[in-house]
Amino acid sequence: MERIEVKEVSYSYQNKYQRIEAVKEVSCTFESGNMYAITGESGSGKSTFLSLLAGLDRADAGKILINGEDLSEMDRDACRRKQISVVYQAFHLFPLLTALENVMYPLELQGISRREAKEQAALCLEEVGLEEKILNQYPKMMSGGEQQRVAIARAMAAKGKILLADEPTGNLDSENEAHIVELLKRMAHEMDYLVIVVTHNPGIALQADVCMKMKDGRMNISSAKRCIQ
Amino acid sequence: MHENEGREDEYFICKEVYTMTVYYSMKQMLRSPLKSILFFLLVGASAFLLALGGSLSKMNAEMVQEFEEIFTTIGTVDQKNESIVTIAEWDAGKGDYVYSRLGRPGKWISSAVLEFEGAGYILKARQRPYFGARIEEKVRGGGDRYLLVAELTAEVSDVLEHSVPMRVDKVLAGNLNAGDTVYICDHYGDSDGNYEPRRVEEGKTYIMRLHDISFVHGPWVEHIAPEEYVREYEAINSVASYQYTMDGDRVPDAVAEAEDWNSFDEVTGDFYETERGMRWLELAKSQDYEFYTVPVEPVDGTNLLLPFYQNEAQITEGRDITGEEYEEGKNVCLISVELARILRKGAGDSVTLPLYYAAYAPAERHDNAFLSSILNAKGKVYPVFHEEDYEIAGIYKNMSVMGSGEHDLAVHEVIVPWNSIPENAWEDNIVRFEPMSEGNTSFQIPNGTIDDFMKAWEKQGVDGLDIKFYDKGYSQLQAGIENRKLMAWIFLASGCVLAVMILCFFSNLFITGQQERIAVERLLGRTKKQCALSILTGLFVLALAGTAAGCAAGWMATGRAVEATENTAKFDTTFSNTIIDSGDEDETKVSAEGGKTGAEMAVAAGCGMMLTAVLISFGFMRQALKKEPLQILGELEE
Repeated sequence: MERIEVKEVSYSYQNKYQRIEAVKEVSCTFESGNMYAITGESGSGKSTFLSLLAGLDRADAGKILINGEDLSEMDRDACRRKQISVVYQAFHLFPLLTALENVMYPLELQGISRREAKEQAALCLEEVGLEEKILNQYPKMMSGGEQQRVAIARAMAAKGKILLADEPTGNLDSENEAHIVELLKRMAHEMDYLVIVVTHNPGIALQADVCMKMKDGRMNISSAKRCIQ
Repeated sequence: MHENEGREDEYFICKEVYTMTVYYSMKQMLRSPLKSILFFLLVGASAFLLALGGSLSKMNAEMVQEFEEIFTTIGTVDQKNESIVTIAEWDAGKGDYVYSRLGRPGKWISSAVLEFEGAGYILKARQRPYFGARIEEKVRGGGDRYLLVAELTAEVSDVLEHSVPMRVDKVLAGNLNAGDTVYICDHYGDSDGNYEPRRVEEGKTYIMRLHDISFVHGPWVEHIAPEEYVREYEAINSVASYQYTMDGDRVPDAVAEAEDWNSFDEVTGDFYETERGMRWLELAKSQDYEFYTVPVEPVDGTNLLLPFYQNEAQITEGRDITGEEYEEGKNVCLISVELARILRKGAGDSVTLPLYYAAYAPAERHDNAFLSSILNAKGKVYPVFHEEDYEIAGIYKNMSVMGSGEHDLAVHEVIVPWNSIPENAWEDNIVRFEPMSEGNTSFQIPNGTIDDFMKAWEKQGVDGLDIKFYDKGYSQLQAGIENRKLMAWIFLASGCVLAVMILCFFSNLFITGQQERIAVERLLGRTKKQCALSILTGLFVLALAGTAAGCAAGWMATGRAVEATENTAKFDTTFSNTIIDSGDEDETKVSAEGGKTGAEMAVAAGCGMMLTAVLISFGFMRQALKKEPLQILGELEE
């Protein structure tokens, strides 16, 4: 059972001209078995919030508890390696590694032998619905949907049960978008993942169990339908 | 938290993870083969240049060192003749004057002019005197024809214009037998053109210093067949004193000023009570001393003596006097094989050297007993001015042809450090003063600085001196060495520039150009260190391989390059600045043994290359890791 508790978290940063208060006193809770959607306009602070959850940035105030442990006191690199995976709109696969190697990478990073990693990676790729012929292809030879599936398979392979996705379908056509959303839902509902998706897309937000809307760094929590309205 | 950190460390050192890191690093590197091959080749090329340049530099340095040990540059100074004078000498055989032309130097030039700015001496120029040291053993053969003082009674009355028989009554010095008849003639009288041979009266006794000059001739020897080659003597010199100041001025002596070159005196009852009589006794004593006198030459370095410089004289037993011993003025000496035999001494033994006169003339002339007399201005034999025991450091053999020039060694010459004798201790004992010549004035300068020396010398505006240099051909070699030095520096510099440029370019390509990979690795939970390891391992492995290959090739190429340009030259040891291509002359062979150069410089070049690679790539890596992964990805998406 994965659980993220966000308590009064604020975060600001300095850009070239001014100080931006990107996240303001946000409090909320996320639990596994659900898919959460965070929507909002550009600059509302949703991607920044996601990076705080992933431990890629450190909150100025408040706490983020991962399964009760304060993220700021945890080894955040280890946390990303073992508990939290992140998927991006631009996929961010290793361009010089094949699909299979991209998925094997986080497994081997955990000390799993190459042979075992290969088997597990193949299973993950099968799980996300990729055909065997894709396994030895490089990212540039794959479609956007296939690349995003490889990215999700890589997140699954990492063994952590928390998946953070930043605009995961932003570069995909509608058919592939539907496949990916379905996959994320399946991960949440059938595999007991805690899935948080940051998106502009109201269609995805509608399919989430919980929708959260951010505006000027503040968070409104509502059902999916209210969120869309 | 601590437990977590512990696990983290454990993770980092985990062999599998390390192996995996290297594996993926190399895999990704090799999946961009064009870039990797180009990197390997260019790194190899710069390592090649570095190794080649480094090895050539080292070889050059070793060669220069070797040459510095083999070659020394010395200079000698001669005062040039200012004029040529015609000398008229009476030839009693011809009954007429004979004329000869003789070069005469002008005003004597002090060796102080050789002390000037820019000379850069290693061993400063000095006009050296040689000293007479009277030892226990007789060093001149009994048959010496120059050192004779005797009382003779004329057997006939006649003018000494042909061989006149005289009976030897008493021998005061030298090898004559009392009772023998000898023939005297004023054969070559020193003359200004008004010379008249002197007359002797039958039954009168005379004291003379004699010199074996020719063979008998004239009416008194008709009973002697020419093929018997009976010697004839000439009365030479007399009781004139010869004493000079340190400036070369003659110390006044009334007796000397009144003397003729070949004067002699009649011996009467109380002759030896008179001043002239006493002087004759002193002269006889001084002539006798000469049989026991060895020339001692004080120098600042053995090489300043040309026979040693030209290897005509070599140490055959013991050792040379060291630079330190010369510097500190230790009481050590070199003696000739002949003197060692006479003294029955070897290296390590000591010999006492009581020095009693100084002659500013080449020591070689001592062999001919060239000193007219060794009486001081008071008419006395010079007293000992310095006496010390000297350890025989080495025994030398002089193989030069006797009489090969004024720079030759005297027969029993003893060589001592200049500093072992107190400066100017001989100032009241100078028996001869001649201008500077290559036999007694020399110096040493650094190799390859002859032109600099001469430029500085010409600025002095001193005329009348002839400076000769001996460098065994170093000047010719120098040009070759300079070329090789330049070549080595070009290789080194181009290797360095190329290495830095290549490493910067490829670090930019392989590190800064892989920002996405860095960001993704960070997102997958890799620490910065692991990330750096992942990115740099492949780079280093390729750089190492390229460097190793380049350095090995550079090292081998050095050997080849040296073989191809091997500079084997034969240098005449007799003449300076002369390279001879063939012949049987005594040669010094100098070979650049570059092919045997060690791999140290190639290894050092490789280490330098890798160190540069590490520094540059770490610099780029550090810069790349400064950005947070999201920032990198955000920038890439933009």
